[in-house]
Amino acid sequence: MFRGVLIRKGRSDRQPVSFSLAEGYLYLSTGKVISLSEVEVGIRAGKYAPFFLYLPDGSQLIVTEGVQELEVALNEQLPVHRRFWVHKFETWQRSVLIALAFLILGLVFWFTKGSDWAAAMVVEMIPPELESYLGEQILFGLKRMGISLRAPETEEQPLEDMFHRLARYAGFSDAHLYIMPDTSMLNAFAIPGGYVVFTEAMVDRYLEEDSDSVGVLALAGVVAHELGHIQLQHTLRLLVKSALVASIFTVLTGDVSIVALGMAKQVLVLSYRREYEEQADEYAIRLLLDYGVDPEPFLQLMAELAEEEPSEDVLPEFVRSHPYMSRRLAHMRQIIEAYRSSDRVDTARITY
Amino acid sequence: MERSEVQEVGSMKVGRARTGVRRLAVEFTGSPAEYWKIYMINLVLTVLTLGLYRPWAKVRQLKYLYNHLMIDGVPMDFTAKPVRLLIGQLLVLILFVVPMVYGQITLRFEVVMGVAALFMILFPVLLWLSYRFFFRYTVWSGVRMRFTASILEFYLHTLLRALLSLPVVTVPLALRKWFQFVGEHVHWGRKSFSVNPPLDKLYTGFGLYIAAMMSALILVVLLSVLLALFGILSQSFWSGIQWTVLVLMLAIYLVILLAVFVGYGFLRGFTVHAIYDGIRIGEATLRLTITPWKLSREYMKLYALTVLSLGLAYPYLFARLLATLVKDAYLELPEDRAFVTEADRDSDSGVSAIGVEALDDFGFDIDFDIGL
Repeated sequence: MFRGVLIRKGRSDRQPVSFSLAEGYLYLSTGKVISLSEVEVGIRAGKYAPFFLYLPDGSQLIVTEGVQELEVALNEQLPVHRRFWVHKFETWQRSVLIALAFLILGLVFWFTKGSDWAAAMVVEMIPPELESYLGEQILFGLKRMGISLRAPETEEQPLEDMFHRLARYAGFSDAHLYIMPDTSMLNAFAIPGGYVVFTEAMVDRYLEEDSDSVGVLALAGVVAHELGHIQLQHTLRLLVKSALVASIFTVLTGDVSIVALGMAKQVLVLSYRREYEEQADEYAIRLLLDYGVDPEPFLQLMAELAEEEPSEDVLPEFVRSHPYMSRRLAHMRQIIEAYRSSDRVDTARITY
Repeated sequence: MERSEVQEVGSMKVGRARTGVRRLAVEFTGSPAEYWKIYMINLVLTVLTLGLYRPWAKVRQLKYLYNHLMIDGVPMDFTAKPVRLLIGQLLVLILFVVPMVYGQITLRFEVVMGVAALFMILFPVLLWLSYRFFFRYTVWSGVRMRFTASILEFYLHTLLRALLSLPVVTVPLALRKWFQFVGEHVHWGRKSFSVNPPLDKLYTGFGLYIAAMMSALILVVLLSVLLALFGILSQSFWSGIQWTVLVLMLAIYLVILLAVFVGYGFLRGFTVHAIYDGIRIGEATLRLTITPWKLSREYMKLYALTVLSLGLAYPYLFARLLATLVKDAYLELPEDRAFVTEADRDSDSGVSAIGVEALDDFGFDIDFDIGL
């Protein structure tokens, strides 16, 4: 026998009742008999949550005594699909440990491999036209922000020639070089769709008239590095990854935590960027060596730029968008070494 | 004979009542730890089903909070069906989320701005639908609540609230007007609600919020001057100031965070206290025993520990806050009156969940401190 209060439809006054269950029927102390198939059992969350039974005439029966026993009895008498599976899982002692373990492992997997893999998969589905369109939109956005870009001028011809030769060799059918004037920054960046932008300060410092000069060869390395970002679709991947990381944070947190997580998210995205920089470095070295350009001037340029950026002691690597230059240089030297030794093996095989 | 000093109501005892006045206990019988467990398990189920389970998870979480909120020993009930939330979620996906993601990925700023503008224009409508949804599916003792303001009235009051908030010093006044408007349109059966938040309490919370923010601003300026002195702006100082720079940057970040916790804690604590303490439902009046200072401290803890736990402790802290808010609270009503009502124009037609889902997706949670 169970006890509860009966509340008739549309009236808030309550009537204490007792009831029992037998052979698929609910017997109320008021004399009413109701088939269990007509009774809607309210969702129960938590072990000691009250039981709400919604009766076919619109009345509510709130169970106050014998809640645990009623749950067992209903589970025996209700059809399989109406039993309290989720409730059982929620009240099972070990469930929260399993859920937590799953959540932590899932998060670790997501941030180390999953989001990368998912972003790569999404990016593969994006057609090249959309990538070009994205590039045009970024250029348009720069213009709207008041950042003007111009085509290379006559005296910048050696750089433009080198750019097109390398781009063609790397398989780009449509590549564009732009110069960003009015900035003292020494920088270059890539935009999806085959656009590479050099700052005027960067070009002015390294460009010489002779296309085989050390300065032009150094800039060729920068061109190869930026082409690497385009070829490996880093910007697109960053956009997609950022969206995926944000979606997980949104699912997991409330509003307030976004304050802290904005920073965490940024750090995660930066770590992707550090990884991308190393990939682009590797691409650049291989492209230069394949094309027959000595990568040494490029390494010197990078070393020079390193001297002008904050000391490695000032900002730890995890708050930087690029890896420590010393690490990048060491990495590039390793690739050159490996390339040249494999070359020697190849040459030996051909010669002998 | 006078009424006894301690009277048993529902499952708990409530303290001394004035002569001729009767008290009905308001209590939260849930456990924050159990709510946290339910939240986590439902979160995992949501992840496993790639978000499809989310409406069911949401209903289960709300059911837990509602069913453990007792008035006079009778639990409140949340009766919305998860399918209704799912439909709302799908509508939000089609109307807002898909165009927004498309605009962001393709960098079509006009699409992003268009969706944002549409959201802003529709914001009052979505908020109105959220209020209607939550009250429509909130039931106590067999009778559901209703939010009866028309969309036009709601739109006008939203505009009025925005306009009144413009001079900043009138923000508490805007809040008071807003909650008076909301209150007079909420009904439980034939009983009407009435909300009259005291202006002094609203101004205290707002003043403390401004004070916290201003103090933080002064500290941030001082720390920034220190940063400049240490040569962060001068390249020649790059070597040798390493950790000082990092510590100062971290200090600035911490000052901002602390100001947010403390400032919002006071703002929320005092405002929520002002709204709830003294709400009238027919002849009954809700009385809180917690002070606004203590409630503010609870809010500060909620914000700080949520951030420290990267959001994972939020469900625990939220349930704890709810329990603290209604601890020893009671409804007071004349001894000769029963707290009963009948359903009034109780239409069975449902209310779309699109408002709730849209606001939720864009970071506007409609909790018990509705629309603050």
